[in-house]
Amino acid sequence: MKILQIDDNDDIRKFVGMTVSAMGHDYEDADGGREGVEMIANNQYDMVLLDMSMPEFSGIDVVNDLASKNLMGKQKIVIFSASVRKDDNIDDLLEKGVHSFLPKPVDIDELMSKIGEIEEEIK
Amino acid sequence: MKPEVGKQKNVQRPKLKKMVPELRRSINMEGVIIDCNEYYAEKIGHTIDEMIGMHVDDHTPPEDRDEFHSQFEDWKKTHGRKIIKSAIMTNKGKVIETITSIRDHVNSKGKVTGMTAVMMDYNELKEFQKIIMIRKFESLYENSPDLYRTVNYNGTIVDCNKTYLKELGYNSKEEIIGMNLLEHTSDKSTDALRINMASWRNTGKGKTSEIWMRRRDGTEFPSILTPTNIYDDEGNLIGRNVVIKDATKLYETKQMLSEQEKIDRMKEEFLSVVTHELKSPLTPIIGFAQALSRPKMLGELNEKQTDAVITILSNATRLKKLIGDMLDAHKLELKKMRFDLKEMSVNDLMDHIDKSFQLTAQEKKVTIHCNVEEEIKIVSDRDRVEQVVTNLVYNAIDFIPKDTGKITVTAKRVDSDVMFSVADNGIGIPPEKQRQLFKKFYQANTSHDRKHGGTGLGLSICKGIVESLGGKIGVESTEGEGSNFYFILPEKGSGNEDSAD
Repeated sequence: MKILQIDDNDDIRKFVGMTVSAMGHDYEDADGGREGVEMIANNQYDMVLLDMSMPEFSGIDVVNDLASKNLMGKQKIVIFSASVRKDDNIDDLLEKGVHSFLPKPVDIDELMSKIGEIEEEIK
Repeated sequence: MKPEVGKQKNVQRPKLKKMVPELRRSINMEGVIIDCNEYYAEKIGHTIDEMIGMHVDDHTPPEDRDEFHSQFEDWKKTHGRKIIKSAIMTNKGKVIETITSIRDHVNSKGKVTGMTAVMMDYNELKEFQKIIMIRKFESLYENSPDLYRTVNYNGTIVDCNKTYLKELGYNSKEEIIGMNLLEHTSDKSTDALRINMASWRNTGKGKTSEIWMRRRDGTEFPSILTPTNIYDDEGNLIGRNVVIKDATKLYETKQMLSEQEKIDRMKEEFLSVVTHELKSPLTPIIGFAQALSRPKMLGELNEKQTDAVITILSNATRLKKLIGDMLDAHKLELKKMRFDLKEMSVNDLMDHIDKSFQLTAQEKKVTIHCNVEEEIKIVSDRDRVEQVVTNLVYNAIDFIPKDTGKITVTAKRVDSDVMFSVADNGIGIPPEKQRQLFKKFYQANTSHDRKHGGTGLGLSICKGIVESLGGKIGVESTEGEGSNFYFILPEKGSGNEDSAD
């Protein structure tokens, strides 16, 4: 599986990258929303882990931009963020084609089982 | 017409005499006039001497005579004072309505020899009351501690009171009368007052408004204007009286309140940013510690290294719980925690909790069991109910002995409610401390807090959640025997649905 992570926190990317690699998947990352959209447009990923609160171009901006470019359906997008809570505008994001949510801080087991869940789905 | 005091002993007060002079007349038991004052004689059109000996019927309108006779006869039976409405008639046949007070006429020997009537001309009385009213208003207007000003239809000031002069920095009315009211209005309120005046002219209805006033020296103060209309005798709107209350104090209070609101908002924002910022570094900390603890991921560690990593992990996990608790406590306090009410199976939930604790039970060498004997379904927030039970179980784990420690979680129906209980065989809680337990940051034994870690928020969060779901929480405990924490949830829970953060 090819996984892209969009997150502005270097350490979180390092941790996810390590876990993804340890599971035997391909890992690529982007440290900003704009760069992430560009990578999605030019590559085919199976799964994207998307942070919400990033400076300049946030996760919401990424979703809106992808939706306007008809790129939402290309991959499973998992919102991976500390700022998404039960009561945020989840419905709106789901309607735009977001797959699911993985709230930070995350357990290694939670992360691995989320990746496993996506893997099962696309088999 | 200057009535004089008649032969009567009673002397009228000179100031009131001009306004509503009394008409006095006394009659004997046969209705013959035996005395009267000059004003009465004058009203009827005779001298006092001519009056005496006349019959009262001569001065009573014919249509009122029967009524008068019956009142006269009544009085003869009872005597005493009484107020009646009656009328007298002049020698030219003119009828004058009066308010009459009747009383006994007593001779020098103390014997009642007849009836005295003290009358007031009804029209004179009305006139008098009108003047009194105007006087009263004038006094109120001039001496009020509030500012009064009177403007005409165009908004030109035609009068004001002393307080107005003083407050705005003028010495005499001559300096003010003729000015436009906008000259006493701050620039920031000019538009508001213009709109207020225009709407008043259009609708005839004056509205109370908050207006900034401007003093002669250019300083300004907030005020509340309350207008009342003035009409001429034909009922045309000609102007308005305005009471102006200095609202400086009110304004300051309002400012303070909005300042407080701002601070509260900042606090809230601060807390949400801080918790978010605290959460971010936890992901790599916990993540890498976990990775290190698994030989397959980053290679084998020696025993000491493993021990160090496990310590990092357990502390980071505690920190994660602490942050979660802080957020929850904060949300509960602001009533911003959202509850997702759905039908849920208590049996499924208990199975799930039972499984999730087995590993911990093994590690701690204690027994943890969840047990429901009947099929129970309720409408509530499953995740929050799980959070409460889990919290209570963790709480109990800290206080039970190793090896023999035992926690039993049960759920059963009580009428239409469901009671959950988490019972342990731990150290128990002294009675005087049981009530304090559910308060924030409270721990029954503070000297233990290294051993029994935790935020001190757990039980207060449980209480907050249970109560938000429409339930109740409590504890029963015997020292040395154990504790039983229980909570009761209604079959159909409540929850605040309207909040979001």
